[in-house]
Amino acid sequence: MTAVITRVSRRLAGTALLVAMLGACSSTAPTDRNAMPPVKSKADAQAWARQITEHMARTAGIEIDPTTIDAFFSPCTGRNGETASDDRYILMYTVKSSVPRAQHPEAVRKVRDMLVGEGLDVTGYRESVDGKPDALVDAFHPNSRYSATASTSGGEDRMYLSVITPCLLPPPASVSPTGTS
Amino acid sequence: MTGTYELLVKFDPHGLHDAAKGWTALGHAAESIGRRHRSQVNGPLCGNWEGEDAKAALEYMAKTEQLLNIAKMESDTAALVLNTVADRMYQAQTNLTNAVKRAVDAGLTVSSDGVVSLPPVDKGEANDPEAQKARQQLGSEMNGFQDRINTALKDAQTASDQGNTALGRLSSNALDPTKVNLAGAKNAAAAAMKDLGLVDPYLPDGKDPEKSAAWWKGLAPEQQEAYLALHPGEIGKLDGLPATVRDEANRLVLDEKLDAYRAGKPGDFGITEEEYKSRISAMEEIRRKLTASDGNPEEHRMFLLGIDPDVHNGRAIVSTGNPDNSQHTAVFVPGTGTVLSGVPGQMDHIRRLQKAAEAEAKHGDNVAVVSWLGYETPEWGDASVAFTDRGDAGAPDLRNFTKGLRVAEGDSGVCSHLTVMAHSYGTYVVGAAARDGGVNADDILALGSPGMGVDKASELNIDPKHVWVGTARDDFIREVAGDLSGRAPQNMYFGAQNIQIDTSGHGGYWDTGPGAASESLRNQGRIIAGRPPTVLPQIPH
Repeated sequence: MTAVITRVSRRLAGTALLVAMLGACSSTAPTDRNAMPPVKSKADAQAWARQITEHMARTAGIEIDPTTIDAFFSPCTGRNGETASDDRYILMYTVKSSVPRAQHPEAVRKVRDMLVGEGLDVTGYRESVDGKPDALVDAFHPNSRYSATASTSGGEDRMYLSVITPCLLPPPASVSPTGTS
Repeated sequence: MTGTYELLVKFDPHGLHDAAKGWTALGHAAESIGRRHRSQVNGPLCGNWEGEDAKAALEYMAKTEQLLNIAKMESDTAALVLNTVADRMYQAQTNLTNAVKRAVDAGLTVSSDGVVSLPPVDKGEANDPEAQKARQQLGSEMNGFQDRINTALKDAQTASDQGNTALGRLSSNALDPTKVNLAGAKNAAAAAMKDLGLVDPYLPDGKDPEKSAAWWKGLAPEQQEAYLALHPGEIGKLDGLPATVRDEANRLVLDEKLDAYRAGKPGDFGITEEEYKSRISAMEEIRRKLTASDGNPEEHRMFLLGIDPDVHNGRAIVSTGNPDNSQHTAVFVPGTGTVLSGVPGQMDHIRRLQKAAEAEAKHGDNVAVVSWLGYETPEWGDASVAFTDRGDAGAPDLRNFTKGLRVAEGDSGVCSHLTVMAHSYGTYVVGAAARDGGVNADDILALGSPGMGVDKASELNIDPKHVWVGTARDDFIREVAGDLSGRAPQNMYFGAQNIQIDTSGHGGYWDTGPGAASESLRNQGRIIAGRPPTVLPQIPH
């Protein structure tokens, strides 16, 4: 019984952490286009995105294929293609998972419900195309300004989970874990 | 003549061919080192090392790569000269020995210095009219044989002299940065080729990608190298040639242009100081981004498929990933106000599109995305944006480019899923290209479109189910769509599929900054990967 309570406590503690993590940038999130972006190192941004996708995977009951992790850092660009000199960046973080196609709608439904519960707005959703299972949920966190996607991928039994961060500013003299390849 | 005759009779072409092999090997070594330097040293460092030290070091390394290019160009030229001279002298030797053999067979005498003469008069020949007639005939043939021998000797001497002059033009200081530059090396190589009459005056006009591709494939490897070295500007523009070839040519052009701009001043190019600085800065940044991608695997390398900073707003065509062997390729046509200085930003932009599409694509499928600034974009500040003439002028070039992609990928055994997508005025260019003969696309996507030059999607020579339109809720283009040419593509009667867009304004379809969202980006990735995007219900506009 004690063990069960401990597990539940841990789970609740984990949930609280995830709630904090899912809105991790909200305290500094700007709404003004000219405001400075939130400060976050690339390593922290990657850890943040990884935690969100892992949470999505657990929610959906699917397993991430660790060989498919793709963390892509890209410079923030303005509407005329201009870039700032302070190394501000976005992260596009994607993982894939093998999931039988028939299970995609249910997996996506679970992720949608979780994301909505965490305060994200759903921007795109479907469960089928032409009557066949082909599911996706796109959602956007209005405060932290990141987007999350769970979707059927090309091919038969693949799904992907992805996070795109808002523009972030690395702390001074931070070291990149990977380059913008 | 004695010396020349003896030398030609004894001539062994293997010596020159062996020397040429040595130069070819040196050229390959320089190329291989340059490639390794790009992919394993300069490329990775360029993407990850910043600051003043990095700037100085990266400039030095760029110069090193240029020197290796020069070494390769000079080595290849030396090899070509030696092989050409050897072949021509061998041909002269063959002509000589044939002439000598025929002369001897005819009964003539050939001396050790190549002089042909009649045999001594036989006894009784003076009283034999038939014999005299035969001797007369032989005398006439003797002159012919002598002419053939003399011509062979002259050809050999000419080949030798031309080779000597040509080799003398090449620099022995190819690796000394203070004594050579790319333009000088190129001029020397061009002069060397000219000395030998090797510069084929034929270059395809580029109007038919299939013909251009066939011409290129018909060249011997050393001829291809020579064309690349001497005509990179023309080769780099030829639709239908492999992306790797165009990239090699255009990088040479970019280096030459950068050298010329740095060595010149604004007046030399007829532009303002501000424009002059802007062009140099854009070229340097394009170069830096190309180099930074050189350490990546081919599917994430950048290919420079076109560059011309001198014309109008500038031209640059850049691909992330090799379109010749990707299963999904997208060509993005930018719109109003896009100029050369915006190309580095476009290079970031196509990488993000590529990533969005890769998430959607089947496992193992590669995605290439091309930014095609291949036409004279109109400007916001004048009336050009209200007229279709710039779009009409650019449309055939776009059609030619996408046809070229089809030709080049066909040579790699690939038939990719091709998306032609555009923004703003660029959507008119795509519409006009598709309307007037098709644009070789499987999907067409128009973002923030003022009109595509047709009233219905079905007029675009593609299944209208694969014509997608995206328009932000607050994009001002909604107010003027249809004014440029053709019905507003957003209108349900146009017959395209309106995709969900969650970004704001006319220029925000790829926004990642504060206030950004990403349904727009995700849907673009889906279309590029051949996957259905999320769409809006069909309601009258």
